[in-house]
This record gives sequence, structure tokens and C-alpha cells, in this order.
Amino acid sequence: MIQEFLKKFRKKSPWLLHYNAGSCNGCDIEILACLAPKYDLERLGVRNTGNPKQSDIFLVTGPVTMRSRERLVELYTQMPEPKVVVACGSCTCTGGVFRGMYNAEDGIDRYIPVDVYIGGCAPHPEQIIDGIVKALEILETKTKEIEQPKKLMGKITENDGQTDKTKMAGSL
Amino acid sequence: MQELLLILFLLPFFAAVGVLSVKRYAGIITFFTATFLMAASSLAYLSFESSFTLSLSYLSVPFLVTDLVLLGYFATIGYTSRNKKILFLSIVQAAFLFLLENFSSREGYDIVVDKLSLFMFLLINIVGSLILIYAVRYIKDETSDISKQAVFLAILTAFLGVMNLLVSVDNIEWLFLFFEMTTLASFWLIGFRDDAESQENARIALWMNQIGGVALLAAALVAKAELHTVYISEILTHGGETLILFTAFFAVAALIKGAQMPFSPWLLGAMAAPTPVSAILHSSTMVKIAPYFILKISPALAGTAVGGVIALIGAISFLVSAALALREENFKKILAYSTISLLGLMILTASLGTPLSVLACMLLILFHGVSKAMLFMCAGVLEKKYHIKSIESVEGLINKAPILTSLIILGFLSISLPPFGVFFAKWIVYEGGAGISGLIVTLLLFFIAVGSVALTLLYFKTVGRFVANDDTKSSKEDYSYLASPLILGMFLLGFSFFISPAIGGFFKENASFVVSSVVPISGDFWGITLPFGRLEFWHIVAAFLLLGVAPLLAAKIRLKGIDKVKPYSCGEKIETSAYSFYFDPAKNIEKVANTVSAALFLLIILLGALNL
Amino acid sequence: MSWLLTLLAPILGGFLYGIERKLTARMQSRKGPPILQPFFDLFKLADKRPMVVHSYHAFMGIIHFVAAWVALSVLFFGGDLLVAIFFHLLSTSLLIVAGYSVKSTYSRLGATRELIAIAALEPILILTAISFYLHTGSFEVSKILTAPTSIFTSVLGFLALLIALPGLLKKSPFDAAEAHQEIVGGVEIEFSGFFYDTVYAAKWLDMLFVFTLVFLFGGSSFVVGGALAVFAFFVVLLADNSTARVRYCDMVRLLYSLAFVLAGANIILGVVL
Repeated sequence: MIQEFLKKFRKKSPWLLHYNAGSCNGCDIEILACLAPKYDLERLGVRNTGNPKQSDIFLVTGPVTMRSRERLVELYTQMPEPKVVVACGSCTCTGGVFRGMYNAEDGIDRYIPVDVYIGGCAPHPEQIIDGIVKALEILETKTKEIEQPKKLMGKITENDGQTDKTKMAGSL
Repeated sequence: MQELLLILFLLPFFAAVGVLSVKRYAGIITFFTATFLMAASSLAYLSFESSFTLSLSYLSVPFLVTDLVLLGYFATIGYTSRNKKILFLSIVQAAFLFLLENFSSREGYDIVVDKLSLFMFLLINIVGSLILIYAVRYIKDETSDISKQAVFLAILTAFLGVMNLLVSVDNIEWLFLFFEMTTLASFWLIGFRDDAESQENARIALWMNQIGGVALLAAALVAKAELHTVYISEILTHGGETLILFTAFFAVAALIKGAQMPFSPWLLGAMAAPTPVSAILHSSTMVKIAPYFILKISPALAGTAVGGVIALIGAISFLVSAALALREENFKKILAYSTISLLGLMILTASLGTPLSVLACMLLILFHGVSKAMLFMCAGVLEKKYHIKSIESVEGLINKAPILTSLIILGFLSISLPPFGVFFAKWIVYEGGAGISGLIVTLLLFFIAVGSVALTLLYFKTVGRFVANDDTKSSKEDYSYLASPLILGMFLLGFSFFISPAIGGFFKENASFVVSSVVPISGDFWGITLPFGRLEFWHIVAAFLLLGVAPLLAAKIRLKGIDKVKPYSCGEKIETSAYSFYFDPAKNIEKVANTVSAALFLLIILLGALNL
Repeated sequence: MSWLLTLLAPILGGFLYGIERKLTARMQSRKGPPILQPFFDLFKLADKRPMVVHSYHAFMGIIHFVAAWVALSVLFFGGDLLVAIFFHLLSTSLLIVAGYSVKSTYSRLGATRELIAIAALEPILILTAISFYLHTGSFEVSKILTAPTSIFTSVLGFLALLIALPGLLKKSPFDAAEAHQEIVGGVEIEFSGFFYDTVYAAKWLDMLFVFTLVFLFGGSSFVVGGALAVFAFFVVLLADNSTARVRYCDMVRLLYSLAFVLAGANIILGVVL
């Protein structure tokens, strides 16, 4: 009952965690444009928190460079469920122009499950907004089960009635 | 009544002799003495009807001889350690003493036990005895030499007797003797570890306190030359013009004993080198001589320029010591600075001399004594059991020793926030001070406002180190030391509930006696009413639940069915840590404050001489 | 009335915060979130999978909220102003203790900055209380509210409080303690889900507390008080949107050299005149 009531508010207050996994900053600028007066994402209740522990939408840009892999997974695991991942930009979806490079992975879905892909180099702000609205629909259907990364999976232990997620993101 | 007083005055000395002669049972004798003293002081307070007076003029000559022997001892120390200050000050004091003895008039009571004395008895004997009990356990870890242990316990026990006598004598010559004896006690206790540093600190304490002795003798000389009497109560009632000069000298002695700037190094030195036990005695009982002295003369000080200057010295020490403490990481040094700082506040409130500020001062004396004794005992445990001196190395201690850490946190909270005594004192000072119109009082209020946030900053910064928690459960805590601090902690928590009837009854009564008029405050179980403000019972309960109960509960509670995650560190894998915040106030602030305070000391005497 | 106000305080505070966000958006010529947005956030956070760094930390967050509520209720029940201010200090200090208790750089940094902010702001609050006493003859809120308005006699005190307001509300230029872009929210950082709810709502209560203090300048004239509170609200938002953050030591310096001096001057004037 209460759960049903609270569930309604998921899509009304999506808080963003924006992470740059080696992007050229093109997408990041477009994301900022979304938050700026012209497109004003805040009218949908969006807030750019910069803190994984208080966010619902993981908005990632960049092809995932070797350096950023561990951090990507770490941030992902620190977000409380329910959460959605939005891959923003071509690089993030498939690796884009960096595909097959020695120093980059081909998109974030190698590491974490992605819910919404936004193509484009860089995507138009309207596209990003569209993607986020799409993500909100998915967010409503999600449960509170622990979601795990695809790679770099650490271990989750039960201890004293408490699920210990501190080691959930493993090291390389 | 009489028998109880006899116990309070003489038992400590007999016990000290007993401890020295039967060294094997030193601990047991000390323990029983402590319990007797606690009981006697409480009973004495309860059975008090009217002031108890006693004339013992035949003891004057032996006391004078003791004085001279003591000064001779000091002079020898000065000579052997080639410390010219000690030697010179001893000679000056001896000379003053001879001058003093040229007069003779002896009718009056040498010992007057009034309400203020009984109030001090409670502090000295209850807190002091708990310290003694703690010391019995502590000294076994400090040294294995049984005779050294006995000497240590004997000094501590006898010290309580000296303190009891000091707060009851009315004859200023005798007062001087006991004053010097406390100086001797601090010299011995600070130098107890017998290494170079403690010896040096002990000598600093000696010569600084001797200046206080000189000031006390000067006060006696003034009184005797002008009024031909040595009895403080007589001087205060018939003082007239000489009164101001007398109070000026008397206050100087108090300020030095209270380690106000620029005489703070002696108390800081007492913290740096020697055993925590002597530190406890210094900062929770001995230094209370300072506010006691000022309280004694506070009716005479009210409204005089001398009183204003004394208050200013207190205000400067309050603010500057609190600020200086922000750069320290040694736990005992932090406590020492905070002691000097709060002593400044006590002296400030006492010298204002209004009924409400005197009441606030008494609240501060009692609760600061209890809180600081508890904190220092905990510092002793930290040092002996966990080998921790710096607040940087206490991280995770809350998991290893939850009770000890909770007591330390409680100690700090109890000297800054409601519902504990020190908060009430501040509240009363603000409301009482705002009620007096006068630029000096307003200025002092600014000092108090800024000084108390500096102290809050210090306390919470320190508490922040102690709450650093990694949520691990660990093996059982060692309780062997914790009896005395636990009792004091319980007292603080329990008393906070009854603080409003206590302020309306106990403190009001005593403060009314000191200012010899009724303090405009009323307090019953349902709250405290000041002329312009009121504190309800539910405020106290709420604060008690929020500060007294909730943090303890929080330390105990383990939330079930909730995920545990790592702290955020930008997604990095490395372990990060943050240390405490240190703040070094402008380099010369200490120098400036010392110079200004020294100038104000001279100003006190000057104003005293001018009868302002 | 006091009961009602106290009970409804979180709701009132939520509305106030919603209005604030809307107004901020309008000042930046944005459309802004709906007024009820703070409540949406609150419910959404409650629906998240709960997680803590450790139980002590999370529990202290809850106590912080309760303490903030108590501080506010002391004001609403017409209690002593100084007591209310000390309760306000108490609630902040609980949050600081929580912030220090986790082994997180940002949290501890935030707690330290919060403490430093207190060191600059607390004296101003106390001096404000004393100035209320000087002009109304009492420290009790109930009596201040029946006394004639004190804004005209203590303009300087009002100005001092106005300068301190951004610090109390953690708004630019004095938001070094929170600094979202710099230390990611400071003490708030390790709270999440329901536990962040409490800290989030405590902020609303703080806001109400501070504006109630401003309201008191109106005395018995509630119109003047209300007007002052609205004015202060607007000025604070304007400052928030038009100034950059100052470093924390500059914040202390500024607050002492402007607000403290003004508040002090106000009291000295009150004593002399």
C-alpha cells in the first residue's frame, strides 16, 4: 500500500549522477545545456547531485577508457536500487570513433547493464531529455533487487542481518 | 557538624601519615579515606545550620614556623637548581612575612566555615575523593616502586586536607600558608616522574605560584597596616578605602593560581609532563581556588574599576586560550587550554559580582570540576591502556572501547550544550549580563559569545575524532579504570534531570549567601525562571533525550536489513582518510594577549592603589 | 496554534523550499520544478533500497532531524530565544558528529567547515537575541511577539542577521560547508534513501527557524514581521543566484567584519540610547 503510493513519485523526482568515462566533453556540454535555462530539466524534478548515493539515473558519457573502468563499476554499485543507466552519446553506446582502440572499451554495456541508449555525437539536448523520460518509464517498472555489474563483480556478504555491499565492486 | 569538619580537616593528614608508614596497605587506606571524606562533606552540607567558627590563635606561632620552613625549602630548591626566580621570590616572601609579624592583634575567628566553604567542600571532597580512588588503581601501572606509590598517594590525600583548610580559614596569614602548601603540592606532583621535562615544568609552576604568594602577603600587609586586622571577613566588612587595594592584591593571587594569561604556562606544563592524576587534581580542584577567592571578594568588586579589569583578564584568557587550543593535538593539552579558558569565564562571572553572574560562576565551578575530572581520568586511561596521547590516533576507539569513548564524548558535550550545567551557566550569564546596562558588560558579552563558540569549535572538533567509527564489533572493554569516571558520568547525566530544582534550591541558596541578597531566579521541577526568560522542563527532557540518550543508543544500535556500503570516494578504490582541523591563530596573538594581560595585572594594582 | 504550527512545521518548511526552488528558477528565467517538488523528492527517497555506511551515522541523521524540530518548537511555543538558539546549535552539532563518524574525506571536510561556519554564525545569533531583549525587555518569544516592533530601533541588528542568513541557510556566497560542486554536499554526502530524507527535511526546518527569527523583528505587528521575512527570503535568494562562493576562511572573515560588527554596534547603540 505505502509501497504503491511511494512508487508513484519515482518518476517525479529523478536525480542524476553524471559520470564522464573518458568522453571528449561534447556530450557533457550537451547535458549541461539540458540543465540550463533553455531546456530546463529541473522542471521535471531533475537534479544533478554528483553523489551516487542519492541518485536514480546514472548518466554516463564516454567510451569507458581503461582508466575509468573500475570507477564506473564502483559508482554503479554505490547507487541504491531502483536505478537506471543511461548511455549518452555514440561512444558510450558502442565505443563510437574509439571502437577497437587499445585504450578504450567498446561502450559501457560491457561493464554495467544499460537501460537506455542515446545515440548521436553529440546527442542533441532534446534527445537527452527524451532519453531521460524513457529512463523514467523504465525506472517505474524496476524492483528493489540488487543489480549487479556485468564485469568486475566483487562479493556480497550477509552479516548480522545486514547485506554488506562494500566489496560489491571488484578490482581488476 | 564539628566532628564532620574535624574529619574533613584532619583525616587526610592522618591518612597520609598512615599511607607512608604502612606502605603495603596504601591503596586500602586511601580508598577508605576517600569514602569517609565524601560522606563527611555531604553530611556537613546537609547538617549545616549556621556558620561554624573557631579561634585557634595559639597555633599562630607553629604555623609561622611552618611558613618559614616551607619558604626555606623553596629557597633551597631555587639555590640547588640555580633558579634565581624561585630563590628571589622565596626571600621576598620571607621578608614580607617578617613585616607582617611586627603587628599584633588577635581577636577573631581563624576558621570560619560558611556556606561557600561547604559548597567548596562538596567539590573538593567528592570529586577529589573519586580522583583518589582512581589514583589507587592508576599508580600501580605508573610505577612498581611501592614506596613511590605510597608517597604519591600520601601527597594526594594530604592535598585534599590542605584544600579543605584553605577554603575554611579566615585568617589571611594562615590562608597564605595553605596557599603555599598547594603550591608545594603542585611542585611535587608535577615533578613526580622525575625526568628533565617534569622537573622544569615543576619549577615553572613553583615560581609562578610564588608570585601569587607574594600578592597574597601584600594583600595581608595592606590590610594589617591600615585596618590592623588579619581576618578577611572583617576586612571585607570594614574595609573602606583600603578594601580596593586589598581586593586588588587578593585577586592577583587568585588569577595566578587560576593560571590566567600570562601565567598560563604553569598549568599547561602540569599537563605536558606528569601523570594524569596530578593533572586531574590541578584542573578540577586546585585551580578552583581562583574563582573561590574572587567569589569571596565579589561583593566588594561589584561595580568597581578593579572588578572590570579582572573580568577583562578573565575574558581575554577565555577567548585566547580557546583559540590557542585549536592548534593542539595532544589530548591533555586540549583539556588544559579548555580549563584555562573556562577558568577565565568563571573569574569573569565572579568578578561581575551581580547575583546572577555569581550563580553562574558556582554552576561553572561545580560542573566544570566534575566534567573535567571525568575527562582527565579518561585521558589517563587512554594513555595507560591504549597508549594514546594525540587525538589523531583515536580513530576506531569507539569500537574498541565504547564506554570510555562515550564518557569522553559526554564530557565534552557536558561543557558546551544543554541540558548540562555549563550551558545553564552560559545562559544565565547572557541573560543576566544583558540585563545590566553598561558598556563594559556589553563588551564582556561579546567576549563570551565569541569565546564560547571557539570552545564549541574545539570540543566538537575533538569529539569528531572520537566518534570516528568503522562499525566493527570487538572484544570486551577493560573496565578496571572506569569506576570513578563512570560515577561522574552518571552524576552528570542524572543531575541534568534535576538541574532546575537544583538551580532554584542549592545554587540559589549558596549564591544568595555569597552576594548577601536574593538571586532573582526561581527554579522548580517544571523549569527555571529568570527575570527575562524561562526554560521549561520539557526543554531539559528533550535535550537530555537528544544528547544524553540518543548518541548512546546510536552507538548501541545495529540497523538490520539494511545494506552496508563504502563511503563515497569519487569511485576510487583507495582508502581515504581525513585528519582533524588545526587552526593556528595569528602567530603573535599569544604574545599580544600575554602582554595585554600583564599590563592589566599592573593596572589592577594601580587602580587598587587609586581606590577606583 | 503552537501545537498546530509545530506539527505542521515539516510541511510548511517543504512548501517554503518548493517556493524557493521555483523562485530561484524564475530568477534564472527557467520554468522550475513544481512547488510540491520537495515532497516528491522526499517520497522518492523513502522508496529507495536503504543503505548506510554504518548504523551510528544513519541514526544520528534521524536525531538531527528531531533536534531541529525541537529547536523550532521551542520558538513556536514562545520559549526563550537563547534556548532556541542553543537547541539549533545542538541539532547542527549532531549532524557534525554524524559527519565526523564516517571515514569519508568529504563528510569530514564538510563537518569541519560546518563547525567553522558555526563559529562565525553563532555569536551573531546570540547578539541578535540580546538585541531583542534590549528592545523588547524579554528573551521570551511570546513576549517579543507582543512587544512593539523593534525593526526601526535595531536596523543594524536586522542587517547583521540578513548578512548571516546565507550562512545559516547554506546558500551562496556562504555555502562553503555544503558546496555541492566542491565537496559534494559535505556532511550530507553519506546519507542516502530514507536517511537522507531526514537530513533533507531538517534543512527545511532550519529554514523555518531562521525566517521565524527574522519574523520576530516585527514584534506585535505581524504584517511588518511577515513583510520582513518575505524581504529577507527574497534578498537571500537574490544573493544566492548572483554571488559566487567564498572560501570558508573568507566567510569567517566577512561575517566577523560585517555581520558581527553590525550586530555589536546595534547592541552598543541599544545600551547607550
